[in-house]
Amino acid sequence: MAPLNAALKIRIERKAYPAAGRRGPVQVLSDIELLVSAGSFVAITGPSGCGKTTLLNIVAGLDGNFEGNVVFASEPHLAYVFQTPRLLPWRTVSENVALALPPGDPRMARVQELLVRVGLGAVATAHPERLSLGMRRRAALARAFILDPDFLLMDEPFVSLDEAAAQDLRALLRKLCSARLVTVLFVTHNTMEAVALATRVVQLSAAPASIVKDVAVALPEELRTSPDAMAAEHRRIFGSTAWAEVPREAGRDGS
Amino acid sequence: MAQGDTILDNDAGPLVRLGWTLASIAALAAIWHLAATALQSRVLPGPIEVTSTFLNELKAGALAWHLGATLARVAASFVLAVVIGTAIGLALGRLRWIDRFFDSWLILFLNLPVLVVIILCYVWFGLTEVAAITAVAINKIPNFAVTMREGTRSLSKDLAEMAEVYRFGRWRTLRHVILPQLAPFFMAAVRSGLALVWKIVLVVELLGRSNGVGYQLNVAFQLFDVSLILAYAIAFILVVQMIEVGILQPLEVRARRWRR
Repeated sequence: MAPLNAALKIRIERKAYPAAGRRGPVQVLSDIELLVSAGSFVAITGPSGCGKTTLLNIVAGLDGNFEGNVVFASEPHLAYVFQTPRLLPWRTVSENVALALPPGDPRMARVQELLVRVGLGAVATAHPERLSLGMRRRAALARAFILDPDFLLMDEPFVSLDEAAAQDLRALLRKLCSARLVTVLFVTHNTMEAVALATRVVQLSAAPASIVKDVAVALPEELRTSPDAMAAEHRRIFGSTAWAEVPREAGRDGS
Repeated sequence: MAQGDTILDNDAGPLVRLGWTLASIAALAAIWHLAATALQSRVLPGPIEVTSTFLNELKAGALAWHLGATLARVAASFVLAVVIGTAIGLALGRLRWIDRFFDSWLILFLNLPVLVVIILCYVWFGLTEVAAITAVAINKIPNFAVTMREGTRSLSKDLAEMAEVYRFGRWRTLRHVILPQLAPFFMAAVRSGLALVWKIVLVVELLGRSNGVGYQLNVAFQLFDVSLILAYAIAFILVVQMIEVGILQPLEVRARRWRR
């Protein structure tokens, strides 16, 4: 399925945040090594505060202060869906999506079409403050996909939504991803979500985080809507059928 | 004032509000008229006499000349204060060491009495236009710098990261991400700044210029011409309100229109 040479190589020997007050530097990541093949959907799970977001920020190039390296096989077209939608409140939904494109890009003409696909066709000219969180998350998805990304970083993009809305958005994400070859790093603390979406699950330990589990999800596309098949796969990977959050969850996102 | 506006906004239409305003101004004029009639004194002319003085000054062109001079000084010193104060504020908000070093200077200038700056400027640069405008600008620059420093400090790191990931580049980040965040701070600084600059300009004119509303007030003071003082005061209030309603309020509405 995946080519032998990785599309992305992540090697982080050590990542620490500088000392705060009298305490020494806080180490968040240690000895992380990940080879990601093109087109794979990697779910990264782990307890809150273990450094999942830091890992994504490093891959995105937002944080260069670490020991190790991140190597893409070719210049990536990268999009990042953050934990909060991070839309510009003073720009309309369609302006927010269009701003992801360089000025004069021909893909501008496809903004409205993409908004219709994500279910925001009717609110394209509204400002984000008028939208529900679910709709803002859809707008953030549209902003990522207008770029035709070959790498998509997602940081708990469906957290704080009710389960029905989250399921809709997962289905939408699968649909958008199926239309192109996109490699996804998807951070979540929801193991059910990981099984439902990913082709591979990487579980991190508490900080300083290292990889404690790295398994392929053996679930064909047509079974990803079957609760029984997903329960079985979840049991195989996580050792329980409960759609529990990863143990030692600190409840930060517990709404 | 602001609170009164919001209370009225909630329960009355624009016409009703205008009616209230006109009624209250009429009531004030009536009280003034009654007091002036009762006192029959040279030091409290009634509204009719003041209005006729106002019209005479208007016809003679003196009003326009002096108001124009004052407006020009306000504009020049205000632009100077906005540009320099904003630049200083952005630098202070962005660079820690500059902020640490210049913070005490800022406190010093913020607490320097207006009159001291004006007198020193006149002593050092002579009774000139440059000295007058410089004095007003120096009085306002620290306030601008402080407000814009707050704005710069409160810039969202989340949005900055978003702009970086989506490769906005320098110019689009400034235009779409940074300036809209600074706009409310800028508008607040402009409003409080303008309100003060008006008053400082009058003092500067009174002390060392030979035209402008401040100068004319000084002349009237020496002649004990209260009618002239009140006529210029009313003209002054009218112009300030015109700028408030005609320029500042529409700008503010524009800056906030995305809020729900």
